Formats: sequence, structure tokens, C-alpha cells
Amino acid sequence: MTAQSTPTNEEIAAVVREFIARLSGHPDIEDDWPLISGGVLDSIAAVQMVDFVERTFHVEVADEDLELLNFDSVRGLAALVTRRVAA
Amino acid sequence: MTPATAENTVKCVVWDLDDTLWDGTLLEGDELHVPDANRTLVRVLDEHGILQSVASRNEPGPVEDRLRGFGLDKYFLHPQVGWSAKSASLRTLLEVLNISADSVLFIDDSEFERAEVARELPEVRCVTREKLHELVAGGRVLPRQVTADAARRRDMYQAEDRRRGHEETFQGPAEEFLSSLGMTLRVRNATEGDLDRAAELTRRTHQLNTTGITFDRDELAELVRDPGHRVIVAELDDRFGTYGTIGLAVLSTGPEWTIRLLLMSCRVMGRNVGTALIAALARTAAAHGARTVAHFRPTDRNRQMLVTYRFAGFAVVSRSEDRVVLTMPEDRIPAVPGYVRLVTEDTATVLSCPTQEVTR
Repeated sequence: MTAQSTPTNEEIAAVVREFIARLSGHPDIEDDWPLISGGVLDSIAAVQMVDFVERTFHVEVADEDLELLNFDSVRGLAALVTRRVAA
Repeated sequence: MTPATAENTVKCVVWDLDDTLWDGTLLEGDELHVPDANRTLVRVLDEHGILQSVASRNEPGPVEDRLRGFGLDKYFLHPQVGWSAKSASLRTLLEVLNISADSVLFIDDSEFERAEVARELPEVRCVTREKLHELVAGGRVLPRQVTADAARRRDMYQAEDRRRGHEETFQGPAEEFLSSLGMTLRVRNATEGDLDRAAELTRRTHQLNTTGITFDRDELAELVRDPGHRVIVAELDDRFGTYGTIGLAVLSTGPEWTIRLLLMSCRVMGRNVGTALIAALARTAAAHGARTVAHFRPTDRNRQMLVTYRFAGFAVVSRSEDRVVLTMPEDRIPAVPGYVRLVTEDTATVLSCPTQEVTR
């Protein structure tokens, strides 16, 4: 990923999916799987997700963004990043 | 030999075996005998939360057999038996037990061995067994107060060793690992015997700590007596044994219950039981007709706890420079993760429910 062009939601989702797959040990993770409410990941993983997102996409995750919905699925996290990248 | 002061409390006693723990020399084929005074001392040290190990130049197999034969094997963590220098054995123990050299007493009848250790590890105190008995009798070794956690310290080390073995070999996703532990979280009001450990937790816990407020023993004792406050402790067990007292919450009660401090020991990092503790607090408050408020004071290390509050359903109601105030919406009861069994004293019931949200 380069810093010059704004990545699309699909590109973001692909990066996020790969990261979550690694973090969770589920190589076949699906975009709608409930990660935290479903017990696939714990809330410490959420902090790792925040770090990952901030480092990889050079965006800031605000305290307001710490909603379960934003971290509970690949789709939710990709959507959060897409919003932050566009902002 | 420096006397044991508050600053260099004895945390571990490391025994030589031949003519120290027992009379006689194993490899000489002597008839070995453990003096009653030693046997008693090993037990007393253990009951006071002082860890014990062995540094012996011997064949590991026969030593293991003899220790088991004497019924003493369970008392010694990571016995170091072999042909390396005793200082090397001690270095290994410092690392695996995660203790500092100045908290160790090394007991050996051989002046040569004591000198070797003293040269390599000057902070380790090296004495004969006679001197050890004298120090203990003189009140220089045993702690004056023994917390419940101290009394089971050896158990906790041994449980942690078995648990780590399981964790390292476990193949599979995180939720299966957590389920495989069979965790039980016990949440109850603190009593007198909990206060030393609770005060220690407020001083030592930084990462999983919502506000960083510290309390000493007397302050906590006062809060326990105060009807306007609650001091709540949480203990965690799993199938490998106990983690001890790993959680503390200090709340002010009334029409609203405010969690002024919530912390979890880093011993339970990754166990994801903070959610269950928060659920227990919010449910207890709800049972008393109160809504739950929580304070959070950000540091550079504790964002995890804000995430835990937020994911448990707390909403931010106000934010200032150094404090975030959150509340649990009236209609929401936080869920307890399915992999932890929650036992709360207040309702004397076992709460265990699926991971979905439960609404009233």
C-alpha cells in the first residue's frame, strides 16, 4: 500500500482481513463474523487492532471510535478505516 | 550477611542437599536422613509464601527419587541438579522464578560453594543451615503478615508452569483456548485478609488500571467499613489452579454506583475476564436499583481498560482533560463471556450466560 493514493474500501478490507486472520488463527475469516462478541478475539486484540490500523493506514482512532461495532467484524473495522482515511 | 529488612525480604530459599537438607551424601551411598527441624522449616517457609528450590551437584534421577521418597518434592520449584557451578544454578532460578538476587537465601554446608556463589552473585545471601535456622528463629526471614495469595504462592507458580505448557502447545483459535482453560471468576466483597493484597495491586498495576488511584491498607479498611463504599475483589481459577486475587474494584454506592477504580493484575492479561468483572459489578448495582457509572483517567498505558468499558456497553457522558465519565445505559446488562463462569457473592448465584447481550 502506498501513501500517495487513497485506498478503496476493498483494498482496506483485504489488509484488515489478513491481519485479523493472523491475529485470530482463523485463516478463512469471513467479513461478518462477530469477532469479539463471538469470542473469536478478546478485547486486548481490539487494542492491537487499534495499533495496527493507526500504523498501517496512518489514521487516528479516537476514543469515540472505540465502539464494539467498529471492531467486531472485518467489515466493521474496514468501514471505520475507510471513514478515517477519507476524513 | 545483610539482615533481612523490608527492602530485601527473603522471597526464595535455595537448598543444597547433601549434608544440608539431608544428612549424608547421596553419591557415597550413605543412608540419608532429613532432620525433623529441616522438614518443619521447609513446611513453615512454604506456608509463609517463601519459595524454595534446590541447587545440588548430583545426578538428577536419584535426587528426584529421594525427594519424592521423603515427601518433599512438591516444595521445590525447578530443582537445579547437575554438575554446573552453583552460581549458574542460581542464575537459572532467578530467571525462571523472576525474582531478584537480593531476595534469595542460599543454604550450603560447603564454604567453597558459598564463596563461589557470593563471588558471582554478591547480592545472594549465602549461609549454612544452622545460620538459616537461627535467622528464622530470630524473626529475620518470615514475613509478619501472610496474605492468602502468599500462602498459596508455590501453588500459583506450579499452576502457571502447567498453564504455560498448555498455552505453548495449544493449537487453535483464541476462543477455544480460553474455553479450554475452564475459568471461574469469583467476585466478592473484600474482607480484612484481602487488604494487603488489594493495596499492593493499586501500587503495582498500571496497564489494566482505569484510574491509577492508589490506596493503602488503612484507607481500604476505612472504605470497607463505610456504607457508602464497596471494595470488591476478584479471584480467578482455572483447571490448572488458581491465579489468586487478580482484580480489585472500589465503588461509591448510592442512587448511582460509581466505579472509581477498577484494575486487573497483568497475570490475567489475555484472559479477557475484565468484561466478566464489569458485568458482575453492573449486575450487582442493578440488583440494588442503581445504575453504574465509571471513571477513566487515561495514561499512556491503560487504553485497554477504556476499550473494555466501551465494549461492555458503557457510553461516554463527559470528558475533561484528565477524566472520562461513562455510564451503563439503563436498559443494558453486560454479558458474561461464555468461557468464564462467574460466581458472585452478592446474589450467591452462578451467572453464566451466552455471549449475546441480555436485555431486561
